[in-house]
Amino acid sequence: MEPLYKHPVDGQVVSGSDLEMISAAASYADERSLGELAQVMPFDGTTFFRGVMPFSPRGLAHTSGPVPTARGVVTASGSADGSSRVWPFRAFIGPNSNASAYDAQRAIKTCVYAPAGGFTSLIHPAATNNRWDLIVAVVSTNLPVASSRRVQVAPSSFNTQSVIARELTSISLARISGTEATSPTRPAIPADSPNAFVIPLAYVRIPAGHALNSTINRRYSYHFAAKVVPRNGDIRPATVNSKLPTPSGGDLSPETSSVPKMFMDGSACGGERLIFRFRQQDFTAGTDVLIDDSIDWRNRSVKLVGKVSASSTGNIDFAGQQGTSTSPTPFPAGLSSSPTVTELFNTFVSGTIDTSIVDVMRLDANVTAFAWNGAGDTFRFRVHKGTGALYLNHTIGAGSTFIGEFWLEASAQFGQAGQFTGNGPLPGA
Amino acid sequence: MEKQFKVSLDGHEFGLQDVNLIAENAAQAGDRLLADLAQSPAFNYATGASYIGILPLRNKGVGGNANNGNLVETTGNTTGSPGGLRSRVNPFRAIVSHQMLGEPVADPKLSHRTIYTALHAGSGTNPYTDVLHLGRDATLPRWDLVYAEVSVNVYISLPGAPIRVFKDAGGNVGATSLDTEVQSSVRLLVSNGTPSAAPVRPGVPANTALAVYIPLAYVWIDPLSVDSSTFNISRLSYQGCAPIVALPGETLRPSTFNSNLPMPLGADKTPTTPFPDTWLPPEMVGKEERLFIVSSDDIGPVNSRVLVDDSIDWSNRFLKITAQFQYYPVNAGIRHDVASQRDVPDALDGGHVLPTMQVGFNPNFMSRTIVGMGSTFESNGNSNYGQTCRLEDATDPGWMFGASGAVGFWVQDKKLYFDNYGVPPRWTFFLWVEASARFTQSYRGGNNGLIGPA
Repeated sequence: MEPLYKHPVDGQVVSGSDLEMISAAASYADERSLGELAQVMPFDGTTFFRGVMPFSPRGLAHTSGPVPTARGVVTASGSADGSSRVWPFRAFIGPNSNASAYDAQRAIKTCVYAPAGGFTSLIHPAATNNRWDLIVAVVSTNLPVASSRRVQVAPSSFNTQSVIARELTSISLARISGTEATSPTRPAIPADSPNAFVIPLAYVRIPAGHALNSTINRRYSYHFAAKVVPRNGDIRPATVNSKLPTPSGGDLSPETSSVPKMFMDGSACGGERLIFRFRQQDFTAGTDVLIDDSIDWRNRSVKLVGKVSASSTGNIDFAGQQGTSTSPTPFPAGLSSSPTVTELFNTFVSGTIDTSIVDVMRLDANVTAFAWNGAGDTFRFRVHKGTGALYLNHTIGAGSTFIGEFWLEASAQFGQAGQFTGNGPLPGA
Repeated sequence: MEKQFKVSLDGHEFGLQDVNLIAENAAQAGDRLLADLAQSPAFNYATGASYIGILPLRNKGVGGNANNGNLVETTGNTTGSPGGLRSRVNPFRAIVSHQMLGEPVADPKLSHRTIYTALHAGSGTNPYTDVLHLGRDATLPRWDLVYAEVSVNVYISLPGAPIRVFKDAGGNVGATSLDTEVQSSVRLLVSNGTPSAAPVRPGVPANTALAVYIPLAYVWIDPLSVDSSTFNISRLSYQGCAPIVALPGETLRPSTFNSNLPMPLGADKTPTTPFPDTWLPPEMVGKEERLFIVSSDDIGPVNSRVLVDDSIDWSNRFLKITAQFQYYPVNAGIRHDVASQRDVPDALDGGHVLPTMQVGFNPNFMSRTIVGMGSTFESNGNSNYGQTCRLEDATDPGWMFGASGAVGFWVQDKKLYFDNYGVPPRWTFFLWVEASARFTQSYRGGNNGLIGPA
């Protein structure tokens, strides 16, 4: 625990240093806990960490409205308004003091960015030639709150004076325009000022001809630039795809020949794991069966480990553990009638967002020796394009009895781009 | 939320309970959160069972030098260095669930929520503390134990013994010196074992109402006869034995079989027949996961490699790789898309996407998922490339890379690389890489028992 103030005698005077100790322990409880969970490294005397923890909804029950969708940190607005949107995040400024080993590890500052309405729009001015814009967050720490008059008890008298009794940490956003050119360079990251630290969030490629009523291309224009603070268990893109600069603010040029041209939004940091069972005979072939609507399943990479095995009618045991005989589950495929399959797939949807349900993964009896063994029979995972709910559908005819068990692992939701496309030569570059 | 003090009238008096409530909420906020996250069992008043844990500071790529050390490791100094024979203890948080002096008797809620934590951040301005071992025996080795003593609710005597003014119930004003601050603390200690031809590991001291003891590592101390000039404690001499706390999401850890961590703690750790020689340190708790996608078009067809990830130190880990490979035979313009998703090349948001299909379903959109295990253990610790895992078409022709086609992973300078050996253009590789925590105890996994210099 942090140092604990003890009030041993009722009626005792509480000094200013007592209250400051209590207040510091309370105010920093969040960041100290988060810093420890994220394992923020101690200040090494030279450089300190700065980054963001993107807001990635993880399936808390919703009592009304749609399931929350992860947006990333900076995205296109999706509208003809020439603007980008910045979504909620928590900024981290790592320890930058090594006055003591404790300070070097614990003097972390964080601040939540939670704009009214859920996002902030930043307009990109018109461009006659190509241009890189930079969006940054400026984290100001220990800002004094306006002073107020307080009574002071002096040794022999009372008086009042104006004092600053509170401090806060805040975030402001800024957009920096680069220089227009046929092959533009990215603008530099502004320098810090005392107690104000700059975190680059994203570079935005503004094409020639951009106007205030232009729609910025959401798939090709955004280059996430912040370092990410992952939570334990988070799945995230490798640096090669998210192109995170090292150190932050370094060259982000995608034209470097030694890296591939595939892009994944680095702010897509999170993930879900789900287990579900399915008894085929309970559902008519061709019916969409809702599997899970606790999260928005759209735009994720998904790893599936599944097993489908024959079952006697009415049996509800676990696949591979049939009837009264709890024999061990055999694997791999081919050794028995209950093969285990592993597949990677994804749930990226494109086109018009409507109420249709589309296939995202198809397990085919022609490929794997599934027990149902009907030519052309399939188990198909499907996603609702409008709600993001996950469905299952099968084509197995009546009279068959199969049980499936599936272990699904999903990445965080990619909010920035419809697909992992366009990291390399951006349109107009 | 916790009980909250509310002020309903500006200027009203603080009572003793009010101030203590505010102070406790503030000081114990982190502990209470950790108790929930770590799912720490409550102290058992009926049986007296206590629970202890260590949360080491581990580098997960959030700032700092990525090459952080193990919980207890060699200083690298020789015995001739100032300060004698020492081991280095890196930062950690100790967590204890134990009835301390002055704690009230059985109270279910209090018992459930009351854990104590104490931070070891280092000494002075160093992010570590070096602890001292006794000098070596002339001819016999011994086991030493490095352990932590955790004390809680210890009053601090503030400098100058400040005088506090108070008003008693009768309105009389007095003044006296009072201690008003308590803290939890960690003290690092060494229990030096007895030199012997077959040395026994020292036990862990019994807990008291004032302190709880947590073992961190056993250290094999060679005799002077082994090397009398440049001796230091080899990194192979450390056998971590700390009970590591796994936080949410850290779902991967060595089995007790491999980490040789008997329960209850404090039992003799002398390796016996049932324990294997294959050693995994108990600190190896945690997991990293990365997604990445590359195209054979981008990395070249023959013996070329690309940097995949440099956000963490990738050396000395186990890898589980789930890989999906897809061939696009029709139009190279779609190669940037996700493996197994065919998108109309020039479409932005209006593309038509097909579902992922297993290999064999449609020869025009061949997709296959495989799972493999590998590791990135370094044999010599240098910065040369080291191949860690290789997937070959020759051994699994289903991938259709061609007879000599293969892909693999390499590690150099702690960074992860992806290699292409002759896979032709238009193949897209989508990979989901899961990595264990780093194995930092030694270069290899053997010698669980006699881990003297090897």
